[in-house]
Amino acid sequence: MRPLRIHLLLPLLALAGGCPSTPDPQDAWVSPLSGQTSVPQDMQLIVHTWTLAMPPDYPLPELVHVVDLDRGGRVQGAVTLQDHTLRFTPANGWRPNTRYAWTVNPLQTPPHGPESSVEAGLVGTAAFDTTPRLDLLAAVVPSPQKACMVWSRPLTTDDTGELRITIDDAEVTADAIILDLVPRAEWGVSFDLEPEDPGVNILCMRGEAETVPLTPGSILRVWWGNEGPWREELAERSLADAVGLLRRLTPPDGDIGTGSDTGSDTATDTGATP
Amino acid sequence: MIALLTVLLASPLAHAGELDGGNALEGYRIGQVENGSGVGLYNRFVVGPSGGVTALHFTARYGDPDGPISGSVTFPVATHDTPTGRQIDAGNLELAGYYHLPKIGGLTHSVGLELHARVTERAYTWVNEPEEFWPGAGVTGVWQGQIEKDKLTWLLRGSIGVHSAAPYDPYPASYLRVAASGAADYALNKRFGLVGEMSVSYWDLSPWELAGLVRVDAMKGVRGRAGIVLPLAVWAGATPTVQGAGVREATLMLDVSTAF
Repeated sequence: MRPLRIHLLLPLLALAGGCPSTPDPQDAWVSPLSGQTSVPQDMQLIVHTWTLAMPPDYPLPELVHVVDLDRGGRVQGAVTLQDHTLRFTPANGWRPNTRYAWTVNPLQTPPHGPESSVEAGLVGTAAFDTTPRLDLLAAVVPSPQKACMVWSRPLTTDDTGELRITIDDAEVTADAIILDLVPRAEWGVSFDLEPEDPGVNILCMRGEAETVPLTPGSILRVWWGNEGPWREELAERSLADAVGLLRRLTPPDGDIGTGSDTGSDTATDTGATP
Repeated sequence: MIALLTVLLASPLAHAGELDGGNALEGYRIGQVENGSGVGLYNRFVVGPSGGVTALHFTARYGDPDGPISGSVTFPVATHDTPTGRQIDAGNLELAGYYHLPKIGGLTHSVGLELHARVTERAYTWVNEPEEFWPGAGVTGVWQGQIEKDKLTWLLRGSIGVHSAAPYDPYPASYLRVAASGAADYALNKRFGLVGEMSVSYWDLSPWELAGLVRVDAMKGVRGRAGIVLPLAVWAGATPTVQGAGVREATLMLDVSTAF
């Protein structure tokens, strides 16, 4: 069995290309993604909402609160609303190597005052952290015999080591699959990353049905160097939907995860290097 | 207090407005029809689970004693809840001018223009009338009438206005408001009277209301009033706000006015 050596693969991955998705300009979403790591210390938390409209000189309720999961306690910061975008700016930046939980609260306003709401799909709690650790956030089957892994930060040449994958406990060998690093243009066009936001990466693999059955419901286990294992059940979902769930993408009709596949089949195959 | 009430109630029966130099009659949404001058403090307390607004209106009126013209200026202030606590804000300044028409039989009536505009702070709240506090501006054409018959006086008001408002729910950026009110003032005696009023209006945050008041002319030129406004449409959920049906609020009134 030949292990996958991902550090040899990465320089080729940047060549991958594809078709952009067609997002609804009225989508609502949050940033960073749920579980995103390596978040810069000066990055703001963003809630992009279309339903929230409050007078600029009216006091905002506590729509966002953040908890330091390592030290405990609330993180002090300022919340501002401008042009449909709610931003939380920590008073002293994010601490390095720290995990945080942040919550978007439903809007509660007193009677006899301005009335508004936050999309129900945006309400909830997610974690992010400032460590550079790698985490597998989701695994999906966007099209037959293709499985994709959403990683918590961009993959770099520092991510070396053996990539070991099993599908339903069956080892996947390097010569059985083709790996593609999917460019963001294919799944993330609908949300504009802040300049300082590194975002996430999606790594897809394809293989023949006879040798690697990449089917929804299968259990994917991944080891990467000394990290892992991560375990995910493969979900039948497009890449846009996979990322959409992590960013609580809420279309104007309120449904979550109704996007279509992003056409990543057109991506350049880079192949797995033994 | 009881002695005072006894004295007041023991006063002989009289026609409405019989106190010389007293305040002209008015309802809740119906203003004074008769020409006159004076000042007044009008308090509104929206009580109940969906209440929490207290409003004070200061009004000064001037009526030309030798002519058909009168005018008034009203400046309201409200304390109200915001997401971060209670806040006090000034509302919209209202200027009104009326022309008192010649009597037609027993009908005393006037036409006028009422203008309001935000001049200072932004008070994002309301009591019952939509134009008092929420930042905006507008003009209303109004007709008011009064028919007096023995102890009973009928008060009437019809109006139509165009308004702009800060465009945040539940207010539209602009709206046309057509309103009609009818009230009956029944003079119990020389000093006491009962007032009942019904109003319908559209566009309005409280499109259908019943109001009940007790008025007391404690002394010449000084009137106190106390009452309650029942926002029937709000209770029925027929309001532009997100509030559902249910009896969750009413507005209490406590007014003091003087006539010169």
